[in-house]
Amino acid sequence: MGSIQKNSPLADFIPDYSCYTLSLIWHCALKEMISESRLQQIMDGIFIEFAEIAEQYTKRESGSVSKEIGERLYTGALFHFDVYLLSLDSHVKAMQELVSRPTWEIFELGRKLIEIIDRDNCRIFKAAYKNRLETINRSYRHVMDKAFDLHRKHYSARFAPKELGTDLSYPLLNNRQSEIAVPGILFVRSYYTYLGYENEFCSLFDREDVKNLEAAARKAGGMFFDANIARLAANNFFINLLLGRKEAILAVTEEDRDELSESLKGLYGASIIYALEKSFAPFKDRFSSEKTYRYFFDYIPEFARILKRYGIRNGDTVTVFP
Amino acid sequence: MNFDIANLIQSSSPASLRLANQILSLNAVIERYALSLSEADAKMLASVDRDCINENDRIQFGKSAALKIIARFAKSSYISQSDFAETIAGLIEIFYEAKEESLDDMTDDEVIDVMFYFFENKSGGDLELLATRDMEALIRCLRNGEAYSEEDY
Repeated sequence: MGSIQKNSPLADFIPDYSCYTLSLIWHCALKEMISESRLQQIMDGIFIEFAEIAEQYTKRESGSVSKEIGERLYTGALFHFDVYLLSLDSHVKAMQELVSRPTWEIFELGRKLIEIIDRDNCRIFKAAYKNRLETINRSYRHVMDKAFDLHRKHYSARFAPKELGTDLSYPLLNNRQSEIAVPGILFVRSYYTYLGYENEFCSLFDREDVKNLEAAARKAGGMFFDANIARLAANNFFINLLLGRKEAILAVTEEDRDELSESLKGLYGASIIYALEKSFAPFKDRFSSEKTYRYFFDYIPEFARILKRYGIRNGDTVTVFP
Repeated sequence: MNFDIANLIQSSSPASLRLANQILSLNAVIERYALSLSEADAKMLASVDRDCINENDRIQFGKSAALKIIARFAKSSYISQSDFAETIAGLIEIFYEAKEESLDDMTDDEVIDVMFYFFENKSGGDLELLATRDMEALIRCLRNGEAYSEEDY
């Protein structure tokens, strides 16, 4: 999100991305940045949108619903606001919109964005699927083969835009999925975008090499059943870069491992990072986007830290090919 | 950050006072049946409606069923002016229980139609019989996935 000035009343705003609009309203009310009458207008406006959704849900044949369904429909209505306000990428702008724009407009803008994001998600998933890996990793296969369809089955742009409808438990590189604070289709967008980066990265290498790498890692006991495959590939690839190789290679022998262990002695972490960033740079043009490249570029410091701290560990920081 | 969503909804939903006014406006409809509701009756019924919504863990977003119940049951041959408000209050309670028990499988109008049928043809205007024997039979039917037929009852 955009930076906030130090003396701004939003400077100490800690957003709850799972219910962004409410957390922003609550903060603004606390800091008296919003009048009571405007606050009531906003809440009434949200209720009107919720009531219309509930009318449609009950086909205009009931005037009440169970609490469980009511809450789900209300949070769905709120999510329209969340999506639009989050798209502004600035808490200050979001607050300004809340204070000045009619609620029905915010809702409508959110509704249109949800449609766009939903369509985008299909495109993002297809791109990730194009480079999907052949693996026995169950959670990977779930997110690639079933999860997206399950999400689409349970998701409803109108009544349940916040529903995930499935679990996306395959861990991303560096546990990125835990950094995705937004819910629903926003989470799906980020998750499959990152997974697409990882799949594309792995497509730099021979498919059989990736499979063999995974098998070797399992055999070495360093890989839990559902661990991240791109991390394995990145680790071995970075090891090869540190050994001075200029191609996209995954294979690491025992001699390679011993040679690198020796050369790492006395090296600072910063030196490892510098060496890797320099040798990774030529691969930038092999990725479809700068963002894919940066996704793995940003992993280098973490890799260097683990390497420096734990050394060369077969099945972990490196997997020796049999 | 945990927000009480149900509370947020209730704080914005139409107030009891508005429902009381809506109930009073029905006098124009029910007067042809020689019935009327006073201001106190209207407030009482609005309060009963709100309490039933809360007790049955429901959320109101649209037209209150109380209005439909008043308009429908004004035609009943078992209702008179002396017990009109009290009977309607009992019917509102039965309505929300039935609605919740039926897991929202029936629309508001369907529940009210069934209640009216039982009230007129089976329970002889007896609220207790309506609530216990008749509506329970209906709910059992719905829960077991059996087809409900007025003739069976």
